Amino acid sequence: MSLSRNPYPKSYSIQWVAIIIAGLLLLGFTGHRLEMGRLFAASSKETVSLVDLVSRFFPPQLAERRMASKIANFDASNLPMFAHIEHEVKTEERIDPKTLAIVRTQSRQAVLVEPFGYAGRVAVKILETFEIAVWGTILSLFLGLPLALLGARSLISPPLIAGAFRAVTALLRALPELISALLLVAVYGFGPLAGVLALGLHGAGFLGKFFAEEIENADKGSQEALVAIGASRFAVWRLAILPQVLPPYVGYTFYSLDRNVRMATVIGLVGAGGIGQELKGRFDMYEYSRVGTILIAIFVVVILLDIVSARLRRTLV
Amino acid sequence: MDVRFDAVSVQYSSGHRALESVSVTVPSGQFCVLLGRSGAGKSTFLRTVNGLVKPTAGVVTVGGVPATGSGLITLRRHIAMVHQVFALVGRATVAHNILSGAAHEMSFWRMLLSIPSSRHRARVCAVSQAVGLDPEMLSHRVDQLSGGQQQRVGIARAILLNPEVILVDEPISNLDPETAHLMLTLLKAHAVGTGATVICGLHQPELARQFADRIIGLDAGRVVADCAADHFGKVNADALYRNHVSHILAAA
Repeated sequence: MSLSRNPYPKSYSIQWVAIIIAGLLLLGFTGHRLEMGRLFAASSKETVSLVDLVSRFFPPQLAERRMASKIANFDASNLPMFAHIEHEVKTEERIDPKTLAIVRTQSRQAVLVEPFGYAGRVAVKILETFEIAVWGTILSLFLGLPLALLGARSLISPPLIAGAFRAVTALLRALPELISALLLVAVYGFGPLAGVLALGLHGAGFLGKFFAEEIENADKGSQEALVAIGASRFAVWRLAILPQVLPPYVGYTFYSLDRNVRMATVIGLVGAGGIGQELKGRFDMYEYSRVGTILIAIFVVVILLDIVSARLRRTLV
Repeated sequence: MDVRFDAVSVQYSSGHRALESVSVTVPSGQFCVLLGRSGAGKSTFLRTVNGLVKPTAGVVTVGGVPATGSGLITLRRHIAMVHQVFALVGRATVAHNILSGAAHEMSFWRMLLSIPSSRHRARVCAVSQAVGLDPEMLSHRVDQLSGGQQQRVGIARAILLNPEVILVDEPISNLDPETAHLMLTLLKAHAVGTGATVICGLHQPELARQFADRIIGLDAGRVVADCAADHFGKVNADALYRNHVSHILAAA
């Protein structure tokens, strides 16, 4: 009896089994190098210090207290909204240079208390972060659209030129925002402009790539239908390609805006403006209750944005 | 405009020979149906008329103008096409799709901003009415329509500017028999009304006999039958499709 080989393909080949085993071994090696085991050590000192750090964020600081004597042109009869004045007794200790004895002096000081003073400042910084993200997205649209039109195969450019534009797009995408922000802060100084540029350049790389892919993947039938009646290249683009790619373009742009808001908070850490810069400053000054306020504000904004942007993309695309 | 094939052969880069030395003249105003099974060369025949496919040998002329080279773009503006899978922009409105049939007549700004001239607006309304689309449908998105409605849009786009030649590539293969009949009736009515030449690829001999003035049978890229529709009998139809069936039976 001859046993003919069953033609049904094998589920796993020996190569794949070997690759998977080799991959697992490699992971074990790198995991050891990165001390991944420390993650699983229960009640380690890291856990204690994490809990300690987080507990310092609470209660988050909403009010702003400033000594009246240190405010220029302080006018007690014309206070800011919701503000009031508290008096506190302050004890100062200093060493008398002659006797070397510790001398205590007590003084009553007026303190201006704005109950939501710091919350207001955080709100302003969040708004600035939004502005950075919006302008970054606008910049990346203006750069990304032409890059996509010129970089798409089969639209305007001959293959070589299209390849060059795609290379530029890839280069922009390969430059992380945080690093370009670091460099741009050195050029433009601390503040939002460096952030806008950093987000805009990376975003142009992102939008340029996905916009071009949409053009390349657009349905060919309707394009050919226009070629068949002697339409110009511009007509093919405007009448057949644009209506197909516009909804996904809106989707990508909203995703980019969403991402830029999150990135705008991060690049603030290197001085590119917005809430991140505030966070970095307060963290370095050990003002953890202010850090708590900032973190809560960031979480709320990011979650809200996630919901809004998901809903917008669903309705638009 | 008449369409003249003079010893036209087409060989694709894959090596497939789609047309083998076809010589045919379709006179102006004729409704001519190409019959033949899938792969017989019907689509290639139609696509050489408007130069989407370049003949490897022979010449195609439309109204005396060769369908190659510098004159092609101008020539194409007189030749409309109805496509098998409609070739519409699904995400755009019915009005946009029909209007795109006037692409070469629109100015840059009107096209860019999508503001058609009053003449084009009137034409779009007129042809959409002629193919039986409700005026309110003009603002609907094409991908929300049924197959039959989409092909109405395809036909409306083709006849928008009263073309002198209409190429129809299996317009009804995705439609139910009733709708198919309706589509061909619409096309025939328009062609008779404007004196347009129609070349239409089809699968159904009965429909061909009903609508065509003349039937050309294609098999493996060759013309195997060419007669007035009235003379195209069951014998011809069987001859066109029998080989196919016997091949399948032989393989099984």
